[in-house]
Parts: sequence; C-alpha cells; structure tokens
Amino acid sequence: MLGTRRPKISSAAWRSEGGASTTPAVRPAAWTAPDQRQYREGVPTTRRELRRARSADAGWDAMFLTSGLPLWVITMAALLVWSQSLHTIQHAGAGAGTVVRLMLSVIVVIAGLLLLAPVLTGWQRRRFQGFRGIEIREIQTPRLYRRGQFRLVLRSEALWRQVLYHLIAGPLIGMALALLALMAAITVFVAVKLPAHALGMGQYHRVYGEKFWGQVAYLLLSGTAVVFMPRLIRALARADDFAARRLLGPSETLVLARRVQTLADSRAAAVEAADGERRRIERDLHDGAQQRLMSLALHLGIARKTLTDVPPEAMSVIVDAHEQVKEAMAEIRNLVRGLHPAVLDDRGLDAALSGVAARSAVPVRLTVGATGALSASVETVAYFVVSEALANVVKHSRASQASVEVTRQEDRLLIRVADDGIGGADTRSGTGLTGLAHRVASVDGRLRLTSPSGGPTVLTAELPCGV
Amino acid sequence: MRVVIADDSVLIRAGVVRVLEIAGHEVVAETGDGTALLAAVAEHRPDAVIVDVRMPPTFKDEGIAAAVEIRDRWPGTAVLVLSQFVEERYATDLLARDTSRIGYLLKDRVADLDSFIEALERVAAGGTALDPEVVAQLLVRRPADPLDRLTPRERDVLELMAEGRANTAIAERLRVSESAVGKHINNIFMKLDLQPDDQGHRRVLAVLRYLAA
Repeated sequence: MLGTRRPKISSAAWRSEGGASTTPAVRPAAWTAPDQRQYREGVPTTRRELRRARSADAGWDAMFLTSGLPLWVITMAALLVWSQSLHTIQHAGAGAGTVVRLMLSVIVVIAGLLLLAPVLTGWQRRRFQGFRGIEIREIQTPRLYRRGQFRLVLRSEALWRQVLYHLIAGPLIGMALALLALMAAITVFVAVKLPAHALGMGQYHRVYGEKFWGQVAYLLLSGTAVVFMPRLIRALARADDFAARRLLGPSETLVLARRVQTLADSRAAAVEAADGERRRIERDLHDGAQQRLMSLALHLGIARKTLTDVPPEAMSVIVDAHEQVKEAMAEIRNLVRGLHPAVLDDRGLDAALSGVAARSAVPVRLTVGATGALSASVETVAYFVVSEALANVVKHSRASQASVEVTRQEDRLLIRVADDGIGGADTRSGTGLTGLAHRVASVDGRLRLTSPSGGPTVLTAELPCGV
Repeated sequence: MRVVIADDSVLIRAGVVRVLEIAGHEVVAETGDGTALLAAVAEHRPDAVIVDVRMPPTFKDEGIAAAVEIRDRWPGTAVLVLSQFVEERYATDLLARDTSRIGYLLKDRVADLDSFIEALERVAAGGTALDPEVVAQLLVRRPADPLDRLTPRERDVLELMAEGRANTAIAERLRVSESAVGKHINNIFMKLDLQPDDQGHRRVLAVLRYLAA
C-alpha cells in the first residue's frame, strides 16, 4: 500500500473485464497527485480505455525511469568500461597495467560512491517521492569525510546497500531502459523503411545489405516487443521501486527496531502520563475536597459539642450529618490511597504497602524484602498490583487471611498475593484482574494466577526492574 | 495549655484553633510551614505543638521533619502530628527516640472534639497517641511471633495500649470491666514473656514489642 499513489489497474482486472467479478481497479481520489497528473476517475470499462490507461501509465513510468538516468549515468559508464576491460583481459591476455587500472578504477568508483551515497540517495529519495509518491525513509549513515568514521563506513550495512543501488541496481535498470528505447527506435525505423523496400525502391538494400525476410522477421519480433513495451516499462519501474525500497531505505530489521523503540517510548510516555494524572488528582483532592470536608466535619463537631439548647430533633440531624461527613472523609481517603499515595513518592513501595495492607478488610500479613532502587513506574505498578489484588481478595475470595510478599530477585521484582479463600478466580472474567494484567504488561511484566475451585488463590506478578 | 499550630490550610487551622479555644487552651502562634514553626516554638516555648505533615515548600513530609527536630531540641514539648493520611513509616520516625509526648493522628479525629482534646492532653502529660490506622499498619508487618498467640480480645487490648490508653479507657472502649482488662493485660505479659516487675515498664515493653514487630 505504502506510497502507491497512482491508481492501480491490476492485470487481473484487465483480464476479467468481460467476466462477472471485477476487482476495484481505481483507488480513492486522495491517492492521486493532482499537481502532477490528473488521473481519470472511475473504472475503465472498455478494452480501449484500459489500453489507454495502461499506456498513459507506461508513459509516466517511462518518464520516471528516464529521470533516473542522469543519476546513473556515471556508474553506467563505469560498468560499461569495466566490462570492456574484463573482456579485453579475458581475450587478449592480461597486461598487468590493465588489471591494475581496472582495480584502481573499481576502488575509486566505490570510494566515490561511499562518499556520495548520502547525496545520491537524497536525490533518489526526492525522485521517488515526486514521481511515485513512495516515501523512502532517511537513515543516518556514517560519513567517509568525518574523522574516525572510516571503520563505521566500512561496516555500515545501510551504506553498502546504497552503494549496491547506485552502482548495480540503478544502472542495470538504466541500461535495460536504454535497450528498450533502442529497440523501439529501430522498430520504428525499420517499419518506416520496409514498405519502401517492398515496393522495390532499391535504396534500402544497398545501404543495409540485408535480406528482406530477415527484416520482416526482425520487425515482427521487435514489433511484439513494442506492443508489450508498456508492460515492460511498468515492470522496470516496479523493479526500480523494489530495489530502491530494499536498498535505499532502512532495512526491515531496522524498521522493526525503530518501530519497537517508538512503541516502547510512546507506551512509557502513556504510562507516565497516567501516573502523573493520578498524582495530580491525589493532590487536588488533598488540597480541595478533603480539606473542605475536614473543615465541615470540624464545624459539625463544634456544633455538636457547643450547642446545648437546640431541640433534640435538630441535634439528631447535626449528629447524623457529622457521622456522614466522617464516613465521606474515610471514603475519599480510601479512594485516594488507591490512586497514588504520596508516601509512594516520599518513602517508596515498602512504606506505601503498609497502608494498603492495613486497609484491607481481610487480615493481611505483609512481608517486603530488600527491593533495592526501583523506578517510579515499577513502584507504581507494584503498588497497584497489591492494591487491586487485595481488593479482589476482599470482594470475591471469602478468605479469612491473605499474605503479600514482595521480593527482589536479581533484575525482577516478585509480588505474591495469596489468600485462603474459595478460589475460582480468572484473569478473563474479573475486570479487576484484567486491568491488573494490562497494567503489569505495560512495564513488560508477567502476571500469573492459580486459583483452583476451592482455593487457595495465588497471584504472582513479575516486574522487570533492571537498569 | 499553650499551643503552637502549624498547617498550611487556613481553613483547617481556624477550625483547630476554635476547637482548642472551646477546650480552654491558648493558641500562642499559628504558622503555615516547618521553618516558621521552629521559629515560633523557639520564641514561645509552648507546652504542645500541633503540626500538619504536608506543608510548603515541598508538600511532602515537612511536618514530620519539623516534629522530629522539635523533639530533639525541646524534649519537654509535646508534639501532636495531624495528617490526612497516616503512614507507619512516619510513625516510626516520630517514635524513634522515645514514645513519650508524641501523638500521630488522622486529621479526621479532630472532628471528634472530646477524644481529640483527650489525646492532646494525654500527649502533653507525657503519653502517646497513635491513630488506630497507624497501629493497623504496623500490625500487618508482624513476622510470625509470640503476638500470634494472643486472642483477638487480647490483641484489641494491646492495640489500645499501643494507642496510649489507660486501663480505664480500655475498659470503657471495649465495654468490659477494668479487672477484666487487667486480666487480659497479664495474659499478654505472660504470652510475650515479660517478667513481672514494674507494671509501667512491662506495659511499655509490650507496646514496643507490638510496634516493633
């Protein structure tokens, strides 16, 4: 898909034109480049229309290929000279001077290409962008002219691939194009001259000295080639696309590596943003709603204490309100604890876990080993794991006891939450556990759950925490 | 009693001041951060200090640091730390030197005027006031130990002891007789292998055992 800006008429569509099924042959208008070439909308239906479309394409492709010639011409010349030299050496015996000259010229051309590859590649990139709408992504390559980069240049796979394109692939395509052009020219020439010859206007014979039927055979052959010329040109253009994509752009491994890096970065950023948001909400609640409620509770407490001459009904309302606001405060406190407790930032995971464990309605025993330094994101996820797991224990397990163990094993943080409840937990069913699995996966961790029916349930999370 | 208050929220500070005034205590200074608090304590030499944990400039644990410093420099000053969250780690910091004249409560508790004033006075008199939530947090850290041998009721009693309550208050809270509380306490001492000598000393040891666990 990438970069095929032209509406594409597949040969299948062309062939099945009489049949029932037709593949959609024209891409949406957005794919065409209005500034470069207006392409007809709609599906070509008649054979003539198809042929016109095809040759128009071929004309464009030919222009595209021709535009490459100036860039290939030097290396094409070099290739021709070299093949000539090889030919000479093979047949006339190798004079030492010829061999040395050949080797020297090879070295000079390759060195020149190593030096110029980035520039040439830049031109090619623009050429493919302009004519074909193909985006060949830029890669950083070492430069031959920079100090100390010589070894890097020799080892740069990307640079050598570029040299391969500029030295071999491009010029070969250029020569093929030249050959096609020559063939076409001769065909036209012969086709014009042959009728004259047939009519006995004898000039022709004298000039070329060939047999008439030989001319006819050649005309038939090259004529066929000309008929297929649009296809050949398109094939060449495709070959150029293919070679450029493979040789000028980043290799597939590099593309994937970059993609992985991008994804890892964006995921880390997303996780960090979510954590930041939790922190912000925690702070906002601390400075806002919690203080308001606190003040409200205080004043209701004062009213309860100091108002002595209010009717009992009024007092009972005050008492109710006082109790309710205290409950609301406790609820908000629990909510905020689940979000991102400030102590997690101040004193770390170990300290923060006390609060979660103590809050649990099921009695918890907490054991935290020496965890060493942990990144903020790992601490946050670990905290979340324990907090969610205990919430699940309270909600579903009917356990009478739970235990939380946190230990560090080399570059992994192991979290084990076990309970003596009824079991039957499933990471797929409970939304809590699904969220947990996602959260653990966000730092490349692993979550395991064993929860046979009848219990006990053991949840293990493994978080990588290497430097 | 002369009290200095430190809290960056004017709203809360005003409320606490009112509560203290109702109880007949005098607020000699109000401050909004740790540095100002230390200066105010140096100037006024109050009987007690009420301090918030999260204050400017870092909004982390300024209050704890200030409380620890006050306890170092003016050991006679009672310190009651109030916070919207209680953390056992902060409690450990506060209790590191000794467990007298120190309190650490959720701010919510201020809304229960009587028990708050009672806690403040207890701390000022040389006692301890720990929020039940802190105690619960310390509990989850216990390794397997003699404390496991305690019955739930004995654990309740020990928990209340750790909060710094006297036998009478414990009996009241648990709705049992004072002699029953005494019996529980003796069982606790026995189970924790505390030899009978000075009652008060054993009591502190039991609480420390409980908190340190």
